[in-house]
Amino acid sequence: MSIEVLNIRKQFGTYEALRDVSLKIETGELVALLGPSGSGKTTLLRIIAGLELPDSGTVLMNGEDATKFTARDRHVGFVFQHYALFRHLTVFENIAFGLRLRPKSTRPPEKEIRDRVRKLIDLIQLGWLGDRYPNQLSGGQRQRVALARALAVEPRVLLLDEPFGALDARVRKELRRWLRRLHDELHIASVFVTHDQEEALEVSDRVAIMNQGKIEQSGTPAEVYDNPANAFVYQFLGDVNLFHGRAYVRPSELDLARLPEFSEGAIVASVRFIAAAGPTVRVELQREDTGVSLDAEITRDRFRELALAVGDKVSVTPRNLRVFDPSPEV
Amino acid sequence: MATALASVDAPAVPMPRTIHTDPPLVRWSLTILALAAMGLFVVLPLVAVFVQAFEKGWQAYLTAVTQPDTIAAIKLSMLTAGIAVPLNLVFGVAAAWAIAKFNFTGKNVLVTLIDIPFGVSPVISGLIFVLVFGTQGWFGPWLNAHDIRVIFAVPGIILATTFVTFPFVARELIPLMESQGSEEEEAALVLGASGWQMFFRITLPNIKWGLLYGVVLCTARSLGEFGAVSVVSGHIRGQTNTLPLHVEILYNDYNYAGAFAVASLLSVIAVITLALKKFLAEAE
Repeated sequence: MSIEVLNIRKQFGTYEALRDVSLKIETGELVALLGPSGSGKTTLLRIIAGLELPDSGTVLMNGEDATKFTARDRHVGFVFQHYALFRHLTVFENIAFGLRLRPKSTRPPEKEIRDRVRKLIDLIQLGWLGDRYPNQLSGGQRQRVALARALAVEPRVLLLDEPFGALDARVRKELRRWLRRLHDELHIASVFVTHDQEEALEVSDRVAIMNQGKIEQSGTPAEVYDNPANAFVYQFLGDVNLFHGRAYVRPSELDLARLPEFSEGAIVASVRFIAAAGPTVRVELQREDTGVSLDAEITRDRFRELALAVGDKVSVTPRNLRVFDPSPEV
Repeated sequence: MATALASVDAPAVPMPRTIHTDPPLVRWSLTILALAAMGLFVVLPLVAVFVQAFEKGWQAYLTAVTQPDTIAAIKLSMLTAGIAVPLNLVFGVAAAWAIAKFNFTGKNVLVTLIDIPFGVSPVISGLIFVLVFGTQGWFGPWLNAHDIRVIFAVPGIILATTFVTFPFVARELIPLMESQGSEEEEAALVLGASGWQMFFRITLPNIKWGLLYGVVLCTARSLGEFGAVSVVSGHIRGQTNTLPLHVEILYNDYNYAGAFAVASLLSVIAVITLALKKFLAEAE
């Protein structure tokens, strides 16, 4: 099922959470809402779910106005940031909850409920934990139970609020891939909120980058990364160096050279700090002329070749300079 | 490796055991002081009640507590608690729900209103009802004309008790519900729960221990309330006397054995309440 959000506005007191936001999510698409905290991404997600009402604008689901339905009747699966598992129910009963609620006429028979829940527990690979209570599970396990609970009612749309926010780095990566595979199997529209650009770029089909209640840009990860619409998007998607107030360059797009190889127009800088652990080497520099700090990222090979040490003077040449209008502040 | 093994085999250094404790003299004198205060103000009076109650033996005790007036007082107290507690259960849950889960104008006023019965002397609480429903009160003439008696009758006692015990359930639940937030309720809604399903399947199970705790306290106070009830009751023996009022009447009649016998009943209720309270606090 497709979701379309049209001209949504939402204000909390004097605070404008969303200003005229429009976005379309096609069936089978996994869309990331990416932005800093306070950018309105969670509010937008809650409006799609029906947990919040927009001040103006509409939410269409399969072309039908969904704003007249409450959260209860929208048939969305929602995974909360802190999971919101029912603490007094076991894993099994948490997952069965949505099915058991239904009126007799539409409720599947007990045996079918049990089968469906078992299947979901197997799917989330927690087969042996069905009788546990939420407080007996680890963060990653809770997260998966929350997802299974949302999927049990066969939602038409899956909405996830910072789904991996509270997990440690390794579990996070694992669950991320798992979510991607799961989404592809289910063929539903999914939206997830994150403030982690790496996560958004790695998992999603499309990224909508939000800032101060507006969508700054939306497109495929490659599109937004390669052709950022403005300085905010560019800066939010990775580290940047700023030249002359409006020209930006990524640390990996700075070439370093020993001073004798001095080329005309190059910037002279001195090495302040070297972080040599990892696949690339990060070099912190300070410009000799203006005193401004620069970050450069070079390959290990290049680093060995240059044999840099703290205090050395180098020339810095930007390979790929981007100029944006000095509009949105970060 | 060798060093690691060596450190394991090394004799354990005895840990000083008194890093964070005061000298024995201070500890013992404080403990004795606390125990003495406890004994003097709590244990001794409690023991005294039972000693006095049984002073003239079992037979006298049984006679005292099975007197028709005493039975009537027990019945009235039970009736009062039986109405006041369920009312406050419903009011308390509704008020706590509204305060903990929603934001609305006048929320602070509501919180303050809930606390009024705690802040006001019970005698004033009783007087309020006399001023409103008494013969000289606002509704007095109308009530008289329709032959309805509130003051110096059972309805007044129930009203006053309900008022005085109003905060117990709500006060217990508000912080609990606030700390739990509304995410679980929202999750239930998204999964298709109706308002009632959400309440009975999620909210109620989550607050049940706190709710029981509040109900226990509310019941104890309903049975034990003296001040407010005393003002509105009229002290008619066998008709408008609750247990605490009956104790006073017997005492004023110089019937000490009887007074303490009835008082012992209230003390037993108090002890049961404490036991329940402790059990519920642990269950929570």
